Amino acid sequence: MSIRRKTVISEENLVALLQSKDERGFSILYDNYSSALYGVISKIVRSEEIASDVMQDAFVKIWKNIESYNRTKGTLFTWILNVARNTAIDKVRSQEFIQTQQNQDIENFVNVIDSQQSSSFDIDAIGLKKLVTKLRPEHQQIVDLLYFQGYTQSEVAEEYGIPLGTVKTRIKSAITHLRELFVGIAFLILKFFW
Amino acid sequence: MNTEAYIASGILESYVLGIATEEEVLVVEKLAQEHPEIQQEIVLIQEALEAYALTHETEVPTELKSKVMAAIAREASDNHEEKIEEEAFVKPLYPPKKPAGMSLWAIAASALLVLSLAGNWLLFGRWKNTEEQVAVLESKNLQVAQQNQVLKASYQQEVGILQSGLFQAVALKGQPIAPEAKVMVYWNKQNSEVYVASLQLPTVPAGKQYQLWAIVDGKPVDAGMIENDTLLLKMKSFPKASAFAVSLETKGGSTTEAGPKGDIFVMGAV
Repeated sequence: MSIRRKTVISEENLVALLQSKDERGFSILYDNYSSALYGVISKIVRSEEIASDVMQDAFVKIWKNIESYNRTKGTLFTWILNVARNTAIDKVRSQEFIQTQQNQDIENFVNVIDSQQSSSFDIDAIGLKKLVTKLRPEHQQIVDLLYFQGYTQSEVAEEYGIPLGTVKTRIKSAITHLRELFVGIAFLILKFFW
Repeated sequence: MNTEAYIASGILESYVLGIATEEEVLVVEKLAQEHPEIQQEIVLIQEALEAYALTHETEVPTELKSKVMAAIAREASDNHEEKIEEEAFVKPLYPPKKPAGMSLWAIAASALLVLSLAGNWLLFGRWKNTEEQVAVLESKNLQVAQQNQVLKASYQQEVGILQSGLFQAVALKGQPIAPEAKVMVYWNKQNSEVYVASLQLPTVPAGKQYQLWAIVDGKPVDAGMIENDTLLLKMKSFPKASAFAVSLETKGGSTTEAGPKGDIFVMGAV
């Protein structure tokens, strides 16, 4: 288990470094966020090897598009999470990915994911992970489908045979629950990280 | 507009999840600018999803960082090369001229080169100079910091003496030869310790030194030499004394038998 090296820097200063294409900024970005990004990417692509590739692609995308990041619209973390998520989802939907994954044993998948989950750290100390289990299953499912699988609302409605209106209300209440569970703690964590 | 109803509609969640349509995104962003409460709601939803993402934190393979940084470095240099290629592509548009002896341009260029070299030389010299000045300033800065520390330590010691309640403070006042001069003597009557502090004496001439005297039974007794530039100094101990004085003596000072030979600069009765 490696020691977490986080650099304390204000988000404003980090953004300035990144937008001036300073490689030090990207190094700090990596140190501060890689475990979260890698976790999300792994959850989507379900393969360590592909997760590493996607991680590289995601950082290159961040490099190329950082000028378009606008602080008034949201936090840097949300923005890079979305870049990583979209890169991973694009990968999963690519023809090449579908072909290689068909040859893989489903059992293996589960093992890979389990081992990855158990290697995560830090957060468990605060018990945040346990909180996830408090989410109602249908809420967790809908957030995961939308957030990690890149489903559209109508795809969810279609695949699970529920009306689109229900999907929308379920999203709303799922996130409301997430907020109730996390926001106080998230604030603490983010303060801790920065 | 009814922002509460808008917030309740669930559109902001879709927006943050990245599943809103392009039109919806435009509307959300416009409304967020106009209504702080909508912007606030978006931030809260983002934070909830950030926290959710954090629950998935996974240890990253150690070698991945160097790969990622290398990918970025490649990207950075690719961009650079593209620019160079663009330039290279533009250049052939100008027909290359035949070299025709020493053209006027060549002479002008040579002159400019010479000027530029001279300029560089000059600037290099100045730069060296500046570097040296910076080094000098840095070392001065260090000295000041050290002095400051010493000052602080003595000051704290002096405050300690004053606060201990064991010392009697005796203010030695300037004599006609130096009316502005001042010295504080702290005298512990329990253990007879004597300290001098807060020295405000004229600069010591070369070969001279200040000496403290205790007046015991009407006679000056040598109480020790005062080192130059001290802030707080322990002197000889006296169980009794009626006054203290400082005189300027030749280096090394005078003896009790001979008494003070130089002028008395400050004096104060206990």
